[in-house]
Amino acid sequence: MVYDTCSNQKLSYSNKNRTIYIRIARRIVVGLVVILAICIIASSIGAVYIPLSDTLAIVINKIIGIKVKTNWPEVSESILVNLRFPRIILAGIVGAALSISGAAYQGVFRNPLADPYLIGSASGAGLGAAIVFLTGLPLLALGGGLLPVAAFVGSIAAVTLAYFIGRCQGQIGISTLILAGVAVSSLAGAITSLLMIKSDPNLRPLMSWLLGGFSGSRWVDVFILLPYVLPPMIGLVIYSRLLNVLQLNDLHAQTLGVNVNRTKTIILLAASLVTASAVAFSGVIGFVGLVGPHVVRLIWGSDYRHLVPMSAILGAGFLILADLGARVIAIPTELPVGIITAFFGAPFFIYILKTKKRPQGN
Amino acid sequence: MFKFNLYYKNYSQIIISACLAVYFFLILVSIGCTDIGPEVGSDNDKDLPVQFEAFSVLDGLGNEVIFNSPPERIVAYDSAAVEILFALGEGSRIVGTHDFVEYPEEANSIKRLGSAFEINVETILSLKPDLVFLFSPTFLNDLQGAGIKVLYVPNRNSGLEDTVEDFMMWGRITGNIDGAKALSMDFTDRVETIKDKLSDLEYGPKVFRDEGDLWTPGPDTLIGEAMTLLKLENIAFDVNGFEQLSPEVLIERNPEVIIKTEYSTIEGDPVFERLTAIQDGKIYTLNGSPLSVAGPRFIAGVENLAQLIYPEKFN
Repeated sequence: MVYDTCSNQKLSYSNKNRTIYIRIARRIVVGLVVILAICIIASSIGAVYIPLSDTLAIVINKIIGIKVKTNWPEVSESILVNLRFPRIILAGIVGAALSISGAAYQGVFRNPLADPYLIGSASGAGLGAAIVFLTGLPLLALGGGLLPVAAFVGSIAAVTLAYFIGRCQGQIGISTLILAGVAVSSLAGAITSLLMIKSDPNLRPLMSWLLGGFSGSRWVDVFILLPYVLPPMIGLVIYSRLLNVLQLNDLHAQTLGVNVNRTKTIILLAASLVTASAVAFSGVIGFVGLVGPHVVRLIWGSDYRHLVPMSAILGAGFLILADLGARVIAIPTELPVGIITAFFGAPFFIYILKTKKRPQGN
Repeated sequence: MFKFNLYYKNYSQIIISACLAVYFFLILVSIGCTDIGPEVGSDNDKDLPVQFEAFSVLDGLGNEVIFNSPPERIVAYDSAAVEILFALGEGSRIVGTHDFVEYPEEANSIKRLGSAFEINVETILSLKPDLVFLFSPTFLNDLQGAGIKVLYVPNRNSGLEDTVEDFMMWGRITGNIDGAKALSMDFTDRVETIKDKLSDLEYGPKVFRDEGDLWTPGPDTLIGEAMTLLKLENIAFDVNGFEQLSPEVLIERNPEVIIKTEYSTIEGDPVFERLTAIQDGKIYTLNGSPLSVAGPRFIAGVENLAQLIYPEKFN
């Protein structure tokens, strides 16, 4: 199917392309509007009851500055503005980031089971976080940002290690890279477990971090995260056309004039950066990176030009709703969002595996 | 068998037959038991204190565990048990414990046999203990199968009544009943003193305990119980065990005092700066250990908490 797209492009290149891009743009706009609606609904639901009218009044007041209504409780405004908004936005960004890098990994590895954590991001981040928690480093160093920094460094280090192990003779062998990723992941995971066993039994904060969640998300996290994820995400959208070409075998892609090695490296780099940043702020949240791209494939087919941006939008919506579940299912307490994504993601994924006769992404 | 009959001569027929039945059952189910049982018995005959009376303890599964003589080599796989034994002056009987026991300091030299949730059975066997105390039944069968006498008592729910009961249990096991009575007296006296000092208080401030990331204990935990004793209103009154409280709920319930651990990040978080506790500067650090172990130190932890919250009454 992908091959068809490519050969069609040669036949009536400009005309065909324009209609495709217009269609993609239209879908993106519709998707963003839906996301906005989800955001507003999600922000009016929570452990503390805030009427929808108050929510809307506060939103309008904050964005446009017009006071539609003045008598909302101060607590409501504080909860909405300081807790729910940044949390929902962060969940959206992280969902988009994980889902888009899931799509990119699946494209590069030509493997439908590839997820953003495939080559070590998650376990590297976990190890970084565990070291900070368990060595008693002050969590509030760097203005409270020590944990994300450590997780980010751990994640990037693990991916880099896997990349250099997996590269042989200047070539990036797909299966070598996956194996290297598995090895690095296991090693980092084992060290994390060892650290946890040999330390203080008070592991609750670390455990809840490892399970992932947005309970502690604030505006400052949003502002730190955005510059890290936005440029590489835009880069992935631009490179999505080349992901189509990468679906051919390397030799064919090469004859189409694509520098296969460089393209793979750039896409892997961008996707890993996006994943590492997301993991640093949210912990390890499973299934978003798998479910997003697969749903897009089911609905709109596997052309990476819309698979990549639509995965981001779908992932954002999915994670915002999953986090809503994490917030409200067990009031007055929180559930780890990873439980919710797995709860809905895993059955769905099994359904995909059972209904598709041929593997996706080929 | 003959030996055991001798011990029980002073007791009523029912107890004898019950104990024997349990003992026979243990012999039947555990192969190794026949080798070690008599050996342990003969070892302890010489050191048997005069006042030691054979007795039995009901374990967590409802089985009777019989003590004919004070065990000399105890593996105490539980922080509270270690603290109680040391407080009774019987700490020298402990030959092994788990990795997370951190009090008292003398306990640091005791051999460690694994984190609290796993156990190195081979090392335990090499220590030749005559009693292994467990708070979780996970390794019960392994150890009993290896012919070791195991006392399994699940973690206590109540820090106040059950702790005193534990003092007495260990006092009887080690033959140090006077010590246990003194320890219990001291403990209950201090509880009474706290109650007295707070008797004219109808209710204290609203309190939130942050173990890090808003994980907080509900009323059914040891800390929850300490709060009840101090008449504090735990804002996490509807939490079971330890759970992560929603930050929205924390803001809405607005605690007047926050007791945090070193893992807490509430302080300095702009979202929480309008909480009454933060505004009034009533945020205190109290790390977990004394308040999370149902031992003699628990009451010291409660007193610490009392001093932080009612400085005018407790200093």
